[in-house]
Amino acid sequence: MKEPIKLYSQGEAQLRVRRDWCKGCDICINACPKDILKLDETGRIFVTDIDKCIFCGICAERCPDFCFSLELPETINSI
Amino acid sequence: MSTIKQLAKKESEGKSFRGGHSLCRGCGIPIAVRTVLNSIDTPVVVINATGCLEVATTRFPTTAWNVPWLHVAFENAAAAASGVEAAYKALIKRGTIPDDEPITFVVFGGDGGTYDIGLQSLSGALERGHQFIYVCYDNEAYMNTGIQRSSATPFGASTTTSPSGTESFGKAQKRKDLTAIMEAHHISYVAQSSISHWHDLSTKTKKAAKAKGPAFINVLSTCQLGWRHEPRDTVNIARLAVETCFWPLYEIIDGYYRLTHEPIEKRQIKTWLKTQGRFKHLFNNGNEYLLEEIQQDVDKNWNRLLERCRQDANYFERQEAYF
Repeated sequence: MKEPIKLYSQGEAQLRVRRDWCKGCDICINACPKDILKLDETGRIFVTDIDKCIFCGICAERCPDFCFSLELPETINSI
Repeated sequence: MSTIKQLAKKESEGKSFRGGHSLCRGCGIPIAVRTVLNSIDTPVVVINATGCLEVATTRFPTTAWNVPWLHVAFENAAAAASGVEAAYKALIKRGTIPDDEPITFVVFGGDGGTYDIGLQSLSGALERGHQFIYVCYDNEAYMNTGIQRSSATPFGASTTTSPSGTESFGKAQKRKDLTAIMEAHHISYVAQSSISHWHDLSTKTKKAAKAKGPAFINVLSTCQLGWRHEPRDTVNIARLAVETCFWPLYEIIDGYYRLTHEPIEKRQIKTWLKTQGRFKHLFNNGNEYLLEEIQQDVDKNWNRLLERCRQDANYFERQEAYF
């Protein structure tokens, strides 16, 4: 598989996607408030437009396969 | 209180429970387990009853757990937890391990291992007052062995041992109210939560961790295979169960009831039943009386719960900080 772990960044904030763990259940696509998640032709998740991402973390909270994790600068985290 | 960002960030630290497990796609269990474990700040020891979670996360030679983890048998998860907790206390007394950082003991069991098979050991452990959190992920049947009915299966659901057909309309008995049985043990914290309400589950876990003596949390977790719905609807269906008041979210602190989430609009139970293949036969011609019966049962339980919470509201007004 191409790129099993993909890093998307927007300034200091990073969204890491472990595509090799994805089972293609669509739960995150349903949960994402900005509609920027999509399955590719192999049935694995990818981010279509990271600039729209608000780093809410709902994908990381909902994914049963632990595909998402957030890296946030301290200023965002403390809110 | 954990924010969603904190919960999401803890993920990256690889704390307690990791991906790479072989649970089905769209399974609700890992959502519950992760939220519970990420909400606990102290080190944890996990004790697991037999079930989907145990089987799919520990296939030799791999494991999804990053914490001490113990599995003994189907019926004695709570008894094993009692033993671990007693050994921990004894070692602290002897000075073998330091007592400056307390350890939280968390037990995970499915509805089969909690409602049916493990009920005696759980009841014993609660009565003895061991310090642990028991989390039951309730997916309403024995999903691991092929969708057999359990005492958590709701009335009218079709399973492999209560199939719907010309002679039967699915399970003919009502489900057991385990949360009420746990309350009857007079333990200080009992709660009911759902995978769809992460904040609710996280807060309740924190309260359970602070409770004196054992605590019990009953979490509704959907099973796309057994409930026969699309994997993508896992969270939505769990949410709908809360909104239709089939699965109210409440907690019982020292015997006093408190509603933690009241749906803005109480929806008809039909909307929830319609989403799942296991209730499909209820919508056939001639089965309207079953739908009516289920709706009446849900209403009765909901009104009874509201009444109970209203009675106990005074307690929570007087109490400034419980936990």
